[in-house]
Amino acid sequence: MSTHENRLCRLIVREHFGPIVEKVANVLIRKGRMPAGMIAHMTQLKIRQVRECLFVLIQHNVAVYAETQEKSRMVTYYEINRTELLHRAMVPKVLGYAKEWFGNDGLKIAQSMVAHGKQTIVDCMADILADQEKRSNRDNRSANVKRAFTNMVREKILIAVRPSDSLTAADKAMADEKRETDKMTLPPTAAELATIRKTLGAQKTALDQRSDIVGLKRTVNEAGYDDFTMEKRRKTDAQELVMIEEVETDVYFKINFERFMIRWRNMHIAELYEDRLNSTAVKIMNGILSLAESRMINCKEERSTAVSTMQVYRMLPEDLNVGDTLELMPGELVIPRPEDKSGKLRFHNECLDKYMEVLEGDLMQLLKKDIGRSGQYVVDLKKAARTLKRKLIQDVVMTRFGAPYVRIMNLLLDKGKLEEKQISRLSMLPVKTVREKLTTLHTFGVLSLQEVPKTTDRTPSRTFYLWEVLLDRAADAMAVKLYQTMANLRQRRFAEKMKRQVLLDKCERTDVKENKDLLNSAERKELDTLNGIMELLEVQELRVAEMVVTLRDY
Amino acid sequence: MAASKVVEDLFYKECLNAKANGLTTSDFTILHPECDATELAMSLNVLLVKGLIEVFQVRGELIYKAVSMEEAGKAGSLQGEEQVVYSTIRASGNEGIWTKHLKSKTNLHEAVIKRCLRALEQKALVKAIKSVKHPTRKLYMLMELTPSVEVTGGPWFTDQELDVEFVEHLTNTCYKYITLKSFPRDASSVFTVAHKAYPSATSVHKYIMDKRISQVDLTVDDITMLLDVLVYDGKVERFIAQVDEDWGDEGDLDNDSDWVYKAVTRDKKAESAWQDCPCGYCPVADFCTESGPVNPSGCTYYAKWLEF
Repeated sequence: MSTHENRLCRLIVREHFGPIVEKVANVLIRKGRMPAGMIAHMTQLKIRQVRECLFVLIQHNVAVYAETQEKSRMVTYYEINRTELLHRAMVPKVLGYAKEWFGNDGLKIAQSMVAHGKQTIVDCMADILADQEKRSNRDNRSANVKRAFTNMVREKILIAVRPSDSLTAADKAMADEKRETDKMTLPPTAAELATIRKTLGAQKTALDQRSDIVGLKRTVNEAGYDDFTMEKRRKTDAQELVMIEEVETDVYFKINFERFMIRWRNMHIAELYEDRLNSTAVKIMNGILSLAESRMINCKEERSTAVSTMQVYRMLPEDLNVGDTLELMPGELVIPRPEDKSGKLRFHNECLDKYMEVLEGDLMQLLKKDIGRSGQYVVDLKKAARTLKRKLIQDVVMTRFGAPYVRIMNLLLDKGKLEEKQISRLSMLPVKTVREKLTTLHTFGVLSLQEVPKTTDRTPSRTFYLWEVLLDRAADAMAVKLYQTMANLRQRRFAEKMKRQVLLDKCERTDVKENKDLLNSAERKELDTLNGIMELLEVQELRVAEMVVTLRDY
Repeated sequence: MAASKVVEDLFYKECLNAKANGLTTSDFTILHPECDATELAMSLNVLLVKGLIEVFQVRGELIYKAVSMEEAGKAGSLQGEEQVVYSTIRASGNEGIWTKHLKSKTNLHEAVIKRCLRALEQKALVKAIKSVKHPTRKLYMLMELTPSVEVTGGPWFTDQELDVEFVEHLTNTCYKYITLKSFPRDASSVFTVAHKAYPSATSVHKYIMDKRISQVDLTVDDITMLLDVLVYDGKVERFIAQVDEDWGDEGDLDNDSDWVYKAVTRDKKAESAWQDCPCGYCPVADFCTESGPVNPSGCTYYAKWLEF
């Protein structure tokens, strides 16, 4: 929790919720959890204002609260949910992908969700359809939006929020623990406490892994009445009955940033193969990961669930060019190049088999055969995340400092702790320059230094200085620098707007809005410049935010 | 006098025969009982003065070793201290000896050693060299010897300094060669797992030597060093070539040449979004705060970047 991270959090709140909420959030971000009265005291705001601000923050899942008994009265503490708040920097990308995956309706739903924090399907549809005037149009749209909403819920892009989600996680855990210990007659021993915690943790993960989705209910419809052709159908007995999934109307939903992260992570993993192999390999890897995606819960899992090759082949596009992009050894294929249709399919599948071998044989070793089950593959997600982080840091070091620095970094990642002289010998660089480069990388946060004194007096001349790269520590150090950059870009954005405030005010006037000709040419030119600058700054911030996601969330 | 000359020659010959083990006087009297002890003593003195034999003390016994005629010719002209210094330097072989060590071994005064060394250098008997390991030390060795690899640092060093350009040039050549062998001609294709023709260190060495890219004689180990550097650069990857499973048990080829090299990507430029804005290169980022003297609102780097 560096000052840069705090500043970024504050600026995000300023942009999304305005200056008064920023004051409240600032206190919570910097000082930690506290009751409303205390916040009022520190912000110099009225208690009513503070309550309203907190209401807004809680509605947008950015703040959480906890109630505790203090002597005779109940005190409510408020706290900022940092992860959720920092995820808000990714909102533009979230909207973009909502459109890509679920079409225009998906975009509308996501926009409405971002604007309202959490809402039911009914509210969301009312919000989207508010501008539709004709009734017939409305009915048509409503069916489409409903379908998109259902799809988003099923794919866990939207998740149900329960009242308990607004409580702080730590307090919930403590309350659960207390309930368990209260059952005992004696205070629990350390071992008992540990077991309680373990079972509670297991319960929680079991809850997370549950396959059915909160907020979706299944109803039986008569055949023929089939609104949603995409829905899962199940024939029951002789009667033509169709099971359809419907979103419950009284459940509130919010955007599940975690699911977006998982999908983006998967895309990044697949893209690793673009440079190493080719685009066909990327497509196959994407297929494997998207099959495994529905069972993923968060980005910190060890490995994906097993996927069979047949599943993969079935979901890949028919026109995927596999045969021509393999450099085969003479006589490697059993089946000759086909003429008829069934032969074509067999040839296609054999080539895909070869591709799976290539992917498995790749030296990153991310795709592995599942032990004990033939034809099943798993992806080592932990290793993949590490590879992504390493690549990102390597690219930053490369562009900022140059190739010799990358050499030293990789050397240390490979060998562990090394001394200056050994580094010089193995990297084939003169000691003089190595020394300089080591210090640069050390101040940049990529290297760590370990001193090993030979004697008890710890004289520098009789001390080994061992350098090493700790990837997680390097990632943290870099994330802090990136937070600073993000905050800078955001602040500059505000400053650029502020500089042209007079012009912007004029644009907001009703007469100017109706008639653009009221702006003179200089003003119009200035407006174009401003738009260009805004775009550049926003896009750049988003790109840096993506880097942070790789370092922090994967 | 003539008799002592005979004994002299005889003793020298026996010493030469004994080679590195040396010879004691008792050994000699067993071999040639006819020689008189006083004559032997006399001839030993003569030989020592001429510098044709050296005397060592091993476990209380005196051992004599022969010195070849040519060397004796050089050293023979030397006197006293110079001879001591000369023989100490000779003993150090192609490793050379540092003046400090020379001093402690000979027990001579520094000024004396300096004088002797100057004299020896003038006679072109010894030369001064510099070591890669200790660049500040002056090492002495015999004129006719070539310094060992330890001292010179191998083929990568010229004038006791790492020849960065030479190394760079060779690694690039190796990389180009490996890239050529790592991917099929067609840019969108990939090799299957059955492809086995990835280059090993030996084949890269052969390529370099055949093309006469290097003036210096390189060994396979030297090339392996270069290839390791490429691995650390993240440009190539190293793996053990898969041996066909049918042959795996029989041919146990467990040596270094099993490692083969493969280029990671066809050609890729590292890019990072961060470096596309001034903050990625900012030299004063550590001082940059929200409202300090260095701040993003009035940042000149930004002003330049945002110019349209």
